[in-house]
Amino acid sequence: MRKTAMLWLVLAVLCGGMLFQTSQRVTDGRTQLAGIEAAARKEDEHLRVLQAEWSYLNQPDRLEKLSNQFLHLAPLKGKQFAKVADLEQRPVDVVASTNPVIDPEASVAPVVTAEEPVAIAPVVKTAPVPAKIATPLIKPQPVVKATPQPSLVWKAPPPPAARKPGVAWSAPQPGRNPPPSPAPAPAAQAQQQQPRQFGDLMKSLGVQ
Amino acid sequence: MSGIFQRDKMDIPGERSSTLGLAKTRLVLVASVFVLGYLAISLRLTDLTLLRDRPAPETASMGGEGVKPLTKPLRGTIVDRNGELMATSLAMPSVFANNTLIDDPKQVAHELAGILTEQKEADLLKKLASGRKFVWIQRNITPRQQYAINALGHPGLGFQDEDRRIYPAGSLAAHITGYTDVDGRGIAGIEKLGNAQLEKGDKPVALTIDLRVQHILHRELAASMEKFRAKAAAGVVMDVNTGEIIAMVSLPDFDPHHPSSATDDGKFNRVSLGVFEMGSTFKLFSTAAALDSGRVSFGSTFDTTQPIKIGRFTISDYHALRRVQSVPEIFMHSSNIGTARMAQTMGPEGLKDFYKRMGFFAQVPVDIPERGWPLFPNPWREVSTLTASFGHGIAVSPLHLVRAASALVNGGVMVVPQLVKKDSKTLLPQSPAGERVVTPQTSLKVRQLMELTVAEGTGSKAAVEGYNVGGKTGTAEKNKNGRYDHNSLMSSFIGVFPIGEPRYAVLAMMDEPKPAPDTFGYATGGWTAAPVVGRVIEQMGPLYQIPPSLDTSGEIMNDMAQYIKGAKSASTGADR
Repeated sequence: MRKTAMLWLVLAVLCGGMLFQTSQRVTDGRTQLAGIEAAARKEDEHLRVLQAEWSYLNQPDRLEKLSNQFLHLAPLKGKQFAKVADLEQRPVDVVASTNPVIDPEASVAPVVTAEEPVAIAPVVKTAPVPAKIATPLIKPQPVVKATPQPSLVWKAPPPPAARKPGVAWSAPQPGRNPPPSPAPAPAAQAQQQQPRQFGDLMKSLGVQ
Repeated sequence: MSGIFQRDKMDIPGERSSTLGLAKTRLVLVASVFVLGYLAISLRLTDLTLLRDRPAPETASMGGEGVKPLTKPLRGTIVDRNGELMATSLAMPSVFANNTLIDDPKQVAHELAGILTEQKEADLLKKLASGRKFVWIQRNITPRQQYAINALGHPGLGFQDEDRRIYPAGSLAAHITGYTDVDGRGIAGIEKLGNAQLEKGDKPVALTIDLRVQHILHRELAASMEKFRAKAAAGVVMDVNTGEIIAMVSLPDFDPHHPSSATDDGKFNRVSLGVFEMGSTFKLFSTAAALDSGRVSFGSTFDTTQPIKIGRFTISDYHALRRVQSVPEIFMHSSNIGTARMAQTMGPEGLKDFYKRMGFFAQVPVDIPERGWPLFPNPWREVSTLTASFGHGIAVSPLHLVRAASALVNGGVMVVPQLVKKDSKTLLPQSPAGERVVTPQTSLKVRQLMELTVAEGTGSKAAVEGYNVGGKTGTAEKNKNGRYDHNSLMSSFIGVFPIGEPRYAVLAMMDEPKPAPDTFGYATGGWTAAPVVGRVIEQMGPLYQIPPSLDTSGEIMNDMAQYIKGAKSASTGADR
């Protein structure tokens, strides 16, 4: 009888102790959770501030002004697209040595797609070519010439390292920036001007 | 303690001794429980005060005494179709002062003036010297300012976070996003209709708007509005196949950050809420109705030599040719007389029923609450058919017009205008889309007529090198005090491109444009609105990588020359 009572008592004390421990841990956990949630909310608020600032800085009319000021680029026009069949022919070795503009892929692949009505970028003429001159290739039209990569007209221009010497990168706008001013410089003009280094551009934007 | 246990050993056998023993044992037990308890407490105390080597819990956070955390989540964001932010909410701190804790108001005011450059030092001093326990110094300061003020370390200055709605693009899409009241509830535009979803704050509401195109349309409309000294302007770009609204501009507009200081004129959404007599752009629909009825074909001719007199109305032509004209000629020269005669062939109810199918007698189902009710003659008399055929006596919103035109050119299937992207949750219950309104053959004919109008007719200013554009001009005289005023025009142009396989419809509209020096005294749709549409298409085409059609301009004349008196041959038509 006494032993049972003792046993129960000990058990009760043990349970009480464990309960106390558990509730302590729960309280600790809750405090920790509240802290983490508060921190996450704070981070979220900071993120929102940064996103808002980013969007504010990327307002189309602001980008347009900056683009007019710092980039010698003009919006692409419909008439600047050319048909594959309109491109001049040129032996491939000449192309390789003197014309760094042509993308090696572009000079081979388009043979198949030559019937496509429109080339989005520097591509290759194949049209009525005798089969023997297996590689009678292609000089891009002046207008198209400036486009850095085939088909990716609206992607950002490649970093300086990726560009080949002597290639002016023009027509496409960086990023999703809309075409600027109603009276932009023609693409041909853009080509004559010294291409700016990307780093310079970034610097000038940063200063701005 | 040991004494107790010693006495315990001297147990006396017998009943009395056993009772005594029991009591003693109980005492020992109870005492030991208390002893253990106190022991535990003192151990824990030692642990906490002497042994624990952890920093005191943070009781003070950066905000100091005044920071009260936001309880509800920040209002959700609105983004455009490419994920560009159009509206967001920021928890912006406001700074207040408890003047009882400020010893030297002059010094504090001087320091604050260096941070809060928007306020004068004298004003700050007045607030700080007022002696009140709570006074707002400035609402909605920037994080940088908060940091600087906090660094001053004055105990009397505190911060409170407040939810503030921010529209990064400013007024660019103000009529679409709408705005919120001081409590952050949406009361216009998407903010209102999407209020429930935005208040939950989890997923952004993605719109079909493309901010780039929105900007192009906004820029071109604003430039033309200034050039022609127009009172107002409106424009829409719509995907003709899906009904998605790519851009929607109503000028003048307003700053959604300060809706209370905006004028009613600025807040008025001319695209979806305003209804106007559209004028000749309605010839699209009356001509389509006549062609679709089968009673009229391209070869049908109508006498346009004499104005039509009916009741007190006289219907005459703006670009009068005064001869018998074929349907394509009537359309490209925008003859009121010819169009009215064409509408007559369908009988009194024909045009009315067609307009009903076009959605001209009901609101446009669109995801913003600003939806205008059209005005139309009731009862519909014969003269109503005649005037409505060229867009007078019936007033619809520009959105009505673009939607109906989209349905005409996309192959003949009605579209539901979308502002909220389909993959995000649409706000409105979808009304049945895809109802066929005209046959594919009629749709093709309408496209040919529109192409002809731009190639050779009144819409030539909308022509774009590289893209085949089709369109229809509209010039309505505004009804002022019951009379049509020759000098108050509502000039518009609806363009569709590429017209061979239409993808986008572009509408531009000017309210009361005045002739500019280079328009030879004209302020009609062809001179004011058509160039806007042309420029928008010129910039939008490459942006959307729409392949230009290079050699096909002028081909339309090959098909249509037989119907047009004195038409240039196809070869000369091509070099325009």
